[in-house]
Amino acid sequence: MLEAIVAGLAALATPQAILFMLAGVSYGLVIGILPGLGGIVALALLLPFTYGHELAATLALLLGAHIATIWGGSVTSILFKVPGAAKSLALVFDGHPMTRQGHAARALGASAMAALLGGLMGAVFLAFTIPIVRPVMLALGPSEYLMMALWGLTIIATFSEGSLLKGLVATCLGIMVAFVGMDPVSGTPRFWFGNVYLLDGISFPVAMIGLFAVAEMMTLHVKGGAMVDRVSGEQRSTVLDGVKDAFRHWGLVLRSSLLGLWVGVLPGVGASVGGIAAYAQAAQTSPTPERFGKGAVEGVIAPDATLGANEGGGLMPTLAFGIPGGESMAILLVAFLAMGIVPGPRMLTTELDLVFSMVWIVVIANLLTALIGLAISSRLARLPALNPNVMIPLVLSVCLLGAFATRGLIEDVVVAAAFGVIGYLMNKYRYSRANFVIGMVLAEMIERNLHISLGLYGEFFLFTRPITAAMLAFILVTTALPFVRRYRRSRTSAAGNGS
Amino acid sequence: MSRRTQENMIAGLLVAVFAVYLLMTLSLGPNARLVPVPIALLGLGFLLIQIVSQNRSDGKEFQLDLLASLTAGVASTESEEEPSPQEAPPSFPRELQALGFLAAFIGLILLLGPIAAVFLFTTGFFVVTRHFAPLKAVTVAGLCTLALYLLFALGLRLQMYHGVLAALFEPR
Repeated sequence: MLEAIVAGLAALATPQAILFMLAGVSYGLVIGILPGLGGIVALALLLPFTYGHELAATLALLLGAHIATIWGGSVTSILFKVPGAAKSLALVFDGHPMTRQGHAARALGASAMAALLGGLMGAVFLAFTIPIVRPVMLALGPSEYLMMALWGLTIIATFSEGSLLKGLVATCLGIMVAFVGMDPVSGTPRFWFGNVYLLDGISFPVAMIGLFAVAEMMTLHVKGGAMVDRVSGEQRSTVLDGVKDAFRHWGLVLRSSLLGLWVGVLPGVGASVGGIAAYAQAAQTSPTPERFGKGAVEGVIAPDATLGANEGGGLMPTLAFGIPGGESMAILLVAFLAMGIVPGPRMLTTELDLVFSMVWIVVIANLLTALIGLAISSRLARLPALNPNVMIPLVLSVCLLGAFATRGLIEDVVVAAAFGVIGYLMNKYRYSRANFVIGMVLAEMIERNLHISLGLYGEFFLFTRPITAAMLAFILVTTALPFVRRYRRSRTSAAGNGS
Repeated sequence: MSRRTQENMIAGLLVAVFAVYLLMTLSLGPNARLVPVPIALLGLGFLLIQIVSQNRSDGKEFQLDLLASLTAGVASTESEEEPSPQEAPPSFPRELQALGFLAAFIGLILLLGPIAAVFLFTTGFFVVTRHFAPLKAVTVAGLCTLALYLLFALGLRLQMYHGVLAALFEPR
């Protein structure tokens, strides 16, 4: 194994591999910062360049770009409340409040360091946990995935911004929007109003660009003044403070990284769910959860550590079983096959040096991204203090072009604008946009796994699958607990007032 | 118009959306409507409770979130007095202006394609808001448009849409 570790690193020590790694990371950062264009687009655009080069160098280009997009997406979430990709959504909740309070540099520093630490842990776990995770992974079926999606929905109460009912309504709306287009199970067209464009469904990044980016620019114009006024735009903390924060909350980084790894390992769950789940566990395990949503640095650290670790986890099933852990991994799988890499158990025996090359790429790409990120964070932190008369046309232009670039369809631009108006109204009347997006993310996972579970295990699968039943019990307990606590507290305070 | 009336109008609109959605699901097969029907029913139910709740004479909404419950009510108290950025009622003319800007931009994109629209919109925005003098507005907008063109059209090799007007002048 030691030989494979050394050989994996040696393969990356060529000039071409180093150059490709640098190019990949720089390109990934730019793509990540552009709203709507995440790792999937970055990888898809690189596919034509994967032929005729050294194998390790090509892998460095692809994986380096993919890993760098993650932090790129976090930057816009933190600075402008515009998630670069769906998985960066959770960064909005505390990252942007930090920016408004003059702690943008600290948030970016914490984000870059947490992503690095998460990425390193993901790489280490990728290297050493394949034999352990394999049986666990194979034991889980669609009914367990369904439970995981339902657990994701119960997290919604965390993001309800006051009114639980409005939060739930927003979730239902998000789920309904996700059902526009072809039913993934029966292929039945739904809610398409005879419009061919709607048959493909509403693109998730396009809806998100509208709900957050366009709506924020409308709000900025209505409110007047800069996104962050000049006084609070002056930084009250430094990038180094953020780096220290990531180390100070090492337990949170560890927990979030393990969660990210786990989410990455499970096929079809996706990093979007991971980021949201990481935020929720950070809030639920914090001794001071009341700070969450108001600029708690832990709310930045947890999702970024999860997203960093997610890549290592996602590579595991892709390499070992040829089952992609998510959409980006599916594109990576295509690239692997084009390069002559055949995923399967052989990867863990005869091709182990190649696996370790990828582990090293994950490590080095994370390091490079963090270094570049930390170097540019203090400059990026000044952007939200820009005059709105400059920011609004520029951000709108980038976002609407980003919406168009998602699928190359002009209709997506119109849909992004429509979602912008919806997002503005939701924000104004306090229907949580985050809940809407969570509903959209989880809808397909719930529907697909429910159908498959019913088909495979019958109507009573909840009772015939012990792991599913245990997961359901866990969900019910964790959902009911806050309500029970609240009830007890109100009874205690009533008794106290009575005596 | 009072805030409560506005809230009721929005809730009423959403009830209509859920009701239409529910009606549409009835025409689908049993598999295709397995999840949409309960979701629409749940949404309708939540909305009806919300409408009753927001029209209660004491004016209190049903407020509960997980954070508030976990934190012995600290967060709950804060959320009730949340100083929302929208708390100061936004002026209707500015809302109309924002909508107008967005509609104008979309109109330009559909007519001329994204790149030309970006140039015209940014120039127009700078001039209308008097942020830059006309010449400087054209220069800054031109540079921004060039950067976006290089990034999206050349860098990302995006096949650009040229707008309805270009289609009219294309040779048949």
